[in-house]
Amino acid sequence: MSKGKISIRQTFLLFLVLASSPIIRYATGYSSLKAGQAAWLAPLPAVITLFIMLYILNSLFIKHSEKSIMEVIYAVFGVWVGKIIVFLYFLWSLLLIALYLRYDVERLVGSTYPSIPIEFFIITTLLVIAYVLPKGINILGRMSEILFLVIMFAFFILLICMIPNIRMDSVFPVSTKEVLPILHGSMVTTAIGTYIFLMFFMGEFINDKAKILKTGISTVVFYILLSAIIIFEVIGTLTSSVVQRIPFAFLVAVKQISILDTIEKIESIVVGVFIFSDFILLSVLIFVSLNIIKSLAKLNETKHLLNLFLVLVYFLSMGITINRFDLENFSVYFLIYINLTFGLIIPIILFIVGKIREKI
Amino acid sequence: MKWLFFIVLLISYFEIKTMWNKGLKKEIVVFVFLGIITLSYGIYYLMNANTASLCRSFFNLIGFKY
Repeated sequence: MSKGKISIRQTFLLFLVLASSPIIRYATGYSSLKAGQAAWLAPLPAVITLFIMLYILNSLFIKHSEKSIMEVIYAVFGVWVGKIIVFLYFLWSLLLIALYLRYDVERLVGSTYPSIPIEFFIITTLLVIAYVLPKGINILGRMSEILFLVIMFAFFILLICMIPNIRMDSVFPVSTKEVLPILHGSMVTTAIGTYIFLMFFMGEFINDKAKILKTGISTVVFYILLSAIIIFEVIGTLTSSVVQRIPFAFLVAVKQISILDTIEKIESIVVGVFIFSDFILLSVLIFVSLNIIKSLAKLNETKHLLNLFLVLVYFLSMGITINRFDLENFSVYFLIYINLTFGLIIPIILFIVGKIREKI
Repeated sequence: MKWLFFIVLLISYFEIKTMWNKGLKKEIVVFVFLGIITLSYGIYYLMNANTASLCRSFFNLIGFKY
């Protein structure tokens, strides 16, 4: 699991691929819930918070360009406090793995395969990860270059086909009264964007970290614009009151596509995007978790822990909930704040303490 | 529950054998620790398969209702 390295460009492409699934699953519903028909503007304020995160990441790696975030945390807070913080990050990544694996299979069962037990999809996903991950993160990096093009092409086609269904009265007018709801709705875009920070827990496998700011800014702008366009088209097609009440809004919006009564039922493309994106998301999170274990216990390699770790992940994803409502409520009421704490607030504290102690 | 032990033991046998041959002592300790956690949580889950919910336990813990 320590073979090869990936470039900073591949890291950010990985982020764009893995963020595709949470954007279409989660960002549309949450933004509509908080900002109503102005939800499509909600991703825009996230630019500021994500730029702050990128600036912090860039500062952390100026002195520690060959290291990962874990080693920077140890250097700033000292080894013992640092290990406690890194362990909390391990718990966060474990929670995300269990949640996203469950989301992934719930969505497949809920949208396409209602009669197949969820255990089947969980085991299948984990088997693919068990096969791919030992080959190294560079394989995922190269996959991301291809998957990025595939997913963006799919989005492009779907978003173009959705244009005739958009009703402008569903997304306009937007008034100044909606500034606060928009800010509230932007939290979900920031929360998903914080996975950039988590990805740098595999920092020793990433080359050219000096270019974080340059590549990161273009990635964040692309991510924000993509989120805004997706939310705009979904709300324009279904209206915000519908979007906030249904679990697979993007899928339903795509089902509405009908061009000349010929191009119809192309929602299978969305299912493909879900599967690719979730696979990359889970693989990266599992790689990060094992890398954190490696750092905490000062191990030489973690390849041998992978299979057993996947058995634990299976039970966690099965036991995280018994129904989808708990899962959705957990995401809406808690996961966003947990993400913001670990992806934004702790990095800011790390940056301030590091500056005071002159460690970064 | 037998299949859980079977899977964990099978994985453990091959992995520990490889790690032992490579002289990865610390890795074996972490592996055993991870194995104990996996078995404990796995048994807990299998004994409460229809009621076990970490989300629900968390909601109850903080008194959250919806």
